[in-house]
Amino acid sequence: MKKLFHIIISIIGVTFMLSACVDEELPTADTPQGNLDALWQLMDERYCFFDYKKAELGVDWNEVHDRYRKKLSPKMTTLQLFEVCCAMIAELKDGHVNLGASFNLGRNWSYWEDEPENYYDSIARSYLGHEYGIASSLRYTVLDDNIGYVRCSSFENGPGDGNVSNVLAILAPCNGLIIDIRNNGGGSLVHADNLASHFTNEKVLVGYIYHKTGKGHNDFSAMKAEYLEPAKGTRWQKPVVVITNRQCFSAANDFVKMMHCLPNVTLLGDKTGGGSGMPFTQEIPCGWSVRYSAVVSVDKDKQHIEFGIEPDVKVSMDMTDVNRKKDTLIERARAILNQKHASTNP
Amino acid sequence: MAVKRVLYILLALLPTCLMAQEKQESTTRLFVGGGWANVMDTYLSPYSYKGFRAELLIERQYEHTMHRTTVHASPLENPAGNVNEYDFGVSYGVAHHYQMLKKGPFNLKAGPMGYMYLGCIYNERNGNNPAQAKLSLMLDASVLATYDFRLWRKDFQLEYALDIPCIGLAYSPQFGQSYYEEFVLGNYDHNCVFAHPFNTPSMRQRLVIDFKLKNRKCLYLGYDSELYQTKYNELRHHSYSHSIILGIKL
Repeated sequence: MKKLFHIIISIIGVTFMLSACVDEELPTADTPQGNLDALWQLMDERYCFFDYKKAELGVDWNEVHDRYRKKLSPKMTTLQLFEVCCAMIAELKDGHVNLGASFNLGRNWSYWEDEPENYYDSIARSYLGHEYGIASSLRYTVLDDNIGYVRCSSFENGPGDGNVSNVLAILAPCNGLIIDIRNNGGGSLVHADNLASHFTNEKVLVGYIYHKTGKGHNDFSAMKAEYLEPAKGTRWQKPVVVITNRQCFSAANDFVKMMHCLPNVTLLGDKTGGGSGMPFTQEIPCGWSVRYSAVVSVDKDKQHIEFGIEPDVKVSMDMTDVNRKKDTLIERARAILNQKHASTNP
Repeated sequence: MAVKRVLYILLALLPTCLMAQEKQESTTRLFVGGGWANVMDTYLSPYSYKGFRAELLIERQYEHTMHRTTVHASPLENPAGNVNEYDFGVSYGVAHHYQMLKKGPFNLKAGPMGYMYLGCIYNERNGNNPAQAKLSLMLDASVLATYDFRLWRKDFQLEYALDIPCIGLAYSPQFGQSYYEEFVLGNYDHNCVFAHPFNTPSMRQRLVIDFKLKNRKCLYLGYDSELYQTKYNELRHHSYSHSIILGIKL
């Protein structure tokens, strides 16, 4: 009986020893210092663009920590702490880096807020008129010069393969197609891939993807090739112009990356907003969510597209056109498509 | 190659656990329990989420073989109290116990146990890392000790069960790998992990006292605890639970 008692005591001891083996590694104190340190360390271990941001922006993450640590004081308010934390992560100039609290969203959207928008919603809508079709996230119509116009403002909830097949089948008699993704802030990569896959007849290398494998700034997996496979439904064979602006971000940036690899496609407008790091979410002790880029996507030449993709034809909105209720970018796209149609059908 | 070798060993050993059922009397017990859970998974959050745990356990015990199926669910909350996480899991274990010691009222059995676990932890706030899937196939060391005693002119039995995972295979995403890469693009990156006591220092234990009722019926009251911990692909996970369980003989 005594032996049994000893065995049970030993097991209970082992139980408590074991339960300390795998525990929290980040600061847990819900204090200004604890929260800032946790945020800094979380980013330090998990953010995927440190080397690139150091090369492009000169961001030294250790120096950033020292600089912002000095701004803390034990008596600072929650709003003041939020402000300091947001300023720290804004140094990375990454639209996918956010600090989320119930009262505000910390962000750096300077990639489009400081740039011309090149998009007027009321003017763009006038091209769709009143009789346009709606298929999931796609709005489409046929312009009076027989050019198909498809507006895709988000990849959040579509389009699916069936939506794209049906829209392209309806627009098949058109001489060319405009896909207007201005102000498309992204969504699901699967939806972006669904749309792009209807514009190729063969499997095409469109880029590479890789992720972090450890806490070091350079702990990355091998780059894995990303291919665009032709869709099984309707596939578009005529010229296409994709209209972009600085607000084309994340999955929309990825869509442009894929379309840029296809021979019949012209990119027109402004440079995209970028956002090539797939974001993950974590948190700090006070419960604020931390969103950060975790998975890197590069183009087919293994070049970063984090800060955007340049168009083939750079066009900005002309104020004379705006006053005439005309969209310079759509008009230019129509001109390109009509010219291409005329040259192939003399 | 190491992963393949472990898989072969597991496949070779599992049949010993799944030996033909002895044509002997079996006891089937059903337990329900509730208690406290503490779950951390650094793929989802660096912090431990805590909350209630509900569990259901069905066990069929033969002379030397034991089959155990458990289901659990835990609604959990982060330390700040503003985000919920949900932990679900189903497990099945089959053990073959050898008689190790029988001395008076004390009986000790031990043997291998094949153990399968399928589960998921879902975080309601996360975007591209909303959940962590859990899948493992392990070979455990299993111990079952009983002690019969008489108190207040009635027969009681105290039972202690302990399982320690030894080797096996487990699923884990890579440190910063997305499910999009794994399941849409099909990019494998050491997602099948060789599990051993150094990266899976875990144990499950249970202490039950049975109260024999009339008509050969029994009522069981006990304590069930799981201390499951893993360190795979630089991702850390722990799931600690302590529950009070109540059971009947079916």
